[in-house]
Amino acid sequence: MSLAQLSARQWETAGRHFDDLIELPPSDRRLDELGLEPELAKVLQAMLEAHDSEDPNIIDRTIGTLAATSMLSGPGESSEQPVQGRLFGPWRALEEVGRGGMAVVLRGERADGSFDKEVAIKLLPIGNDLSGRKLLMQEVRILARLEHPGIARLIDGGLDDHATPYLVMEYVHGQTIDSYCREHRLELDQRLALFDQVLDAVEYAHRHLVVHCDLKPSNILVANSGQVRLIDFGIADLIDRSESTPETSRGRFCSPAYAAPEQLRGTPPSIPQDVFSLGVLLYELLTGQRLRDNRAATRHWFGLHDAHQAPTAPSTINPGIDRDLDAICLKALAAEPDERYADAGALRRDLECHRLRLPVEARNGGRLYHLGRFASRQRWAISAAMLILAVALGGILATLKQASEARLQAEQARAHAERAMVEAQRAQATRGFLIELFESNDPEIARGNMPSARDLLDLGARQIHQAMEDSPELRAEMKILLGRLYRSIGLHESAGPLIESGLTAAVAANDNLQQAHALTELATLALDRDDQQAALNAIEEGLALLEQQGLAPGPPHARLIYRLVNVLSNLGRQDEGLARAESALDLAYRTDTLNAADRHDYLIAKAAALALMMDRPERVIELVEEAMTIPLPRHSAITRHDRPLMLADALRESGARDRALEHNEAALAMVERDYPPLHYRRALVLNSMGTTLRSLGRLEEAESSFRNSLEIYQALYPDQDHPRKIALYNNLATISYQLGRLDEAREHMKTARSQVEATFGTADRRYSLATANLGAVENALGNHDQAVDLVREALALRLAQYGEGHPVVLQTKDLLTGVYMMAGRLDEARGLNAELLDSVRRSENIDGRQHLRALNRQLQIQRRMNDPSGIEDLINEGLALGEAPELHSGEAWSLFLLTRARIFDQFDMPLRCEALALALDTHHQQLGYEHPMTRNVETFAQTSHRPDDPC
Amino acid sequence: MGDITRLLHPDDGTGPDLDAVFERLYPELRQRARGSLSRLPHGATLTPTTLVAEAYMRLIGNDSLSLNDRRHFYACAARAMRHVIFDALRGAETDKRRAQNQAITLSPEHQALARTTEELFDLDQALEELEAMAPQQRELVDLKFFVGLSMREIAELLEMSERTAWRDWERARAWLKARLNQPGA
Repeated sequence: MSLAQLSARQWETAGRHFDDLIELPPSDRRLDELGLEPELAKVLQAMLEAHDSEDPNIIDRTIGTLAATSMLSGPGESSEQPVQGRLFGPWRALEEVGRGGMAVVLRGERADGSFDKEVAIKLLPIGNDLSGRKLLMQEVRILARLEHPGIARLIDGGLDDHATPYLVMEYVHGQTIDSYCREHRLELDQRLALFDQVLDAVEYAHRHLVVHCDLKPSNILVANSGQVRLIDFGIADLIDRSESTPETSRGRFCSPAYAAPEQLRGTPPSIPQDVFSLGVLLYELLTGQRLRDNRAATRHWFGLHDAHQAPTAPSTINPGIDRDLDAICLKALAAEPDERYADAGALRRDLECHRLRLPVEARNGGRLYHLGRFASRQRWAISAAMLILAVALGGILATLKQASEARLQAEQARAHAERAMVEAQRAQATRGFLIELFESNDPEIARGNMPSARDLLDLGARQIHQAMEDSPELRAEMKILLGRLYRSIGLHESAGPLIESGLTAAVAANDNLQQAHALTELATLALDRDDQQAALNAIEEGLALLEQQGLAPGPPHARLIYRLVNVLSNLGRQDEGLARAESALDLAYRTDTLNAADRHDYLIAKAAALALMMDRPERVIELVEEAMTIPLPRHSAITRHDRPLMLADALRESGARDRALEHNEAALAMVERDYPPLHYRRALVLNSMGTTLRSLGRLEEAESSFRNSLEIYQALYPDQDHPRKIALYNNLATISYQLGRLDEAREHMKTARSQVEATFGTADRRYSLATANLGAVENALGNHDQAVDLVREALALRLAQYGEGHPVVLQTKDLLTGVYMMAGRLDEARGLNAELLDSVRRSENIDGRQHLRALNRQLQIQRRMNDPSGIEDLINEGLALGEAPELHSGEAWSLFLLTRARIFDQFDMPLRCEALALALDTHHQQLGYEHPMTRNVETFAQTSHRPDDPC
Repeated sequence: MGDITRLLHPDDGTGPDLDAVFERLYPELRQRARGSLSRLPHGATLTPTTLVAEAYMRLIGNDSLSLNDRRHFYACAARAMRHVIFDALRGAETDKRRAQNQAITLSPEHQALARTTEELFDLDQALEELEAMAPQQRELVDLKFFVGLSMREIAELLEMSERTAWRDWERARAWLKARLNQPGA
């Protein structure tokens, strides 16, 4: 049926009936009683059906979404020439054999017959699309690094006569892995053997720091010989990001059915993403079914699945699968990258353990996870013992597995295997020791009562002095381990002597690494007890030792640097901390032998140093993101909880508040799962989250976040002026301030300021911060003279701390200008702001927001002084700044537009209404309807209403 | 006085030169759209309203526009936004056709893009037909779909009550849906 074109008159008639009929339920609509022409009735009927239908239609979508989708694939130039016989350098194309999202693959041969094998020629159909070309050339660079029987070999590459880049690779006669398995009706163990070949190749790529990024059956061919070959490194990336293409586009080239959740969100490529794709492939090989069907994959692609749905265990589909394989597969498919295998090698080792019927890592993780769940239901005291032992055993088992792996490769690497065997013997002994603790004749345990962590540790501490007589090094190690376990359950008095004794034993055994380890543990213990000086001494001693022994840079050194940064900051010596972190990271970059993973803690240390100085958030984001491309090292100085938190803080500082909140929420979910309610990590996350919520204008939520955080600290440190409590008083004060509870704000802020002064002295940056903030509060309370004194004091301190022209100094000047204004000291305000505006204009690398704020202030002052001179130039200067889109995310732009509207109103300028509309619209769009500033502009809109000239 | 204002209000009193306004607006919006797309975090969407508001500020600035001129401006902006989108799609469409000629299976991402492209082209065709019957409703749909104005803003621009605007929107939407649901549309 077709929909007839109506005349304007018929359309009007249809419309009127439509309006009436949609008010009725469908069963009550009597179209035939309306006496309409049949054509018209048909159209009306169709309109009513369309109106009732829930089917999605493009008309209801947002053009912005459509535009974003379409523009990601730019226009291309067509090359309609038939491919057969086309020449690519010395190669001739025979036929097209495949086409993916990005490239066309041709079968070809050497034109002059000098090379008797067939080749695969890969080219991009998108003629001169630069990003496509860049990807292809990148593939050349990447493939040239890889030489492995499981990876299709690169033979040649170049540009053809049309300047189309092409790659020539060995042509693999074979089938994709999934159809190979189906057609040959492979049994489970045969499938796993094929998968092992895949892992071998991917592990090789990972070792060479190459991520494939698009692992899926169609990229994994099985030759007739049964040899597996990976093809299509088209969107692969080097972990070292110097050669990378823009992430946003690359993330979108992958295949959604096999992509990790974070990959679809556009995070930079990383090894865990390949592990996820391998997990999808394993799932398919185990069950014969796709993990996600096409529909789910496409929905996934468009972000329609908000939460990653945990897959069902493969054994529910194929009952022949045992629980270890289930666990291995699901671990590879974990939603959180940190919870997956660290790389293809780790997955491969675990499958090997499964084959050899050894315990698998995935199941340990599983047990730990369940314990964690159990524990979070307030059974902490009981399960802590299990957790601690499980952690200790987990480490030992990993060593055992590496050893068995090493045994398998003994022919190739005898020396390595021997080293590993020694390690394995140590691990065996340790495990024996720990198991004895469990199996001891303790009557409580014999009765089946769960021993407490304390019981087990006490037992271990008593026995360690007699145990392992033949291995003093191991005894030293065990003492340090037991000390660490004591520390982790808060028994500091027992921890100290054990670690000290371990240190003495390590010195006696001349074991430098173990000594450094002990010193690190002592430093951590001292930090836990808030003895900064003792921590610093232990750290410096450890650093000196490692540097002397040529063990810097390296992971133990990096861990100490991270602690050093924190201790120095606690001592108010942030500059020194940054300098030391910077030179350590430089050293790490300069040292070629250091692998990327070992840079992790150096990156984190520098990021932490910058963050502690409240400086350069963009750089902090870069550093943390770079660190996040590296799977968290096993013995990192930080936990997996720290990275999202650091990122959240830095994102918020840089203005990306929504993204910051996402990371906060992820961090909170993680700590809630992993820690008991009264743990400082929860408090840390809550504090960060409160700060983000505050910056989003969600003040009540922010306040309750801060209060929860403070409650935890008060329970943990009831009698001390702990630095973390100080920060919270400051935060609560700013919230009370924003909520208009000024007296409360003053009390909190005074507490914060006097505690900083008592703990760190007035030279500390936190003191100048508290002083400036107290000034702002006094200002709001109307105590203008006190406010002026305080902010002046803060400005003087900050000039000394940051130097003229630093954003923090400019901010303080901005505050002082405001305080002068409130005090009615308009001349002083105008003078200071002119100075401020001048230095902002002259500075080259100043943030546009600062500039805008200064302009805004200038406009406000002149409005107060009722002086319109030069005001249009100032407004135009601000509008020109507004062309930079990054300005639109902050409050500064909205505020500027409000001031503009107020000025137009006050000086009765012609565009009064447009200015107001734009200010309103921008507030709504950028800050949301709930933001206090939005309410402010709405109030202004109402009060400025003129009955004689309404907008 | 900005040049757009002059185009909307020629000194010689000949009435607004809408084609010239469009010529001026189109590259502006295109550039802004691409610019903000490349800067947006992944997953974020364009807000055409903001793009157009920015263009308004840059091109009109502090000049005062009558309601009628504003309406002309927004009509041109809708046209320009439409072109910006279709330009991008046409490029993608070329790829798609080429791929179809070679009869290979498209990846899901291409299929989704192709579907969107097809739907948008169909919608454009349907809008032409709507214009022939009901030019004012077409203008309304343009302002809503391509510029993303709110119904209140649209009502103001088109000088009708918000209730009427909603009513017209419902009519046009139902007709467009019916038209797009036809087999072979």
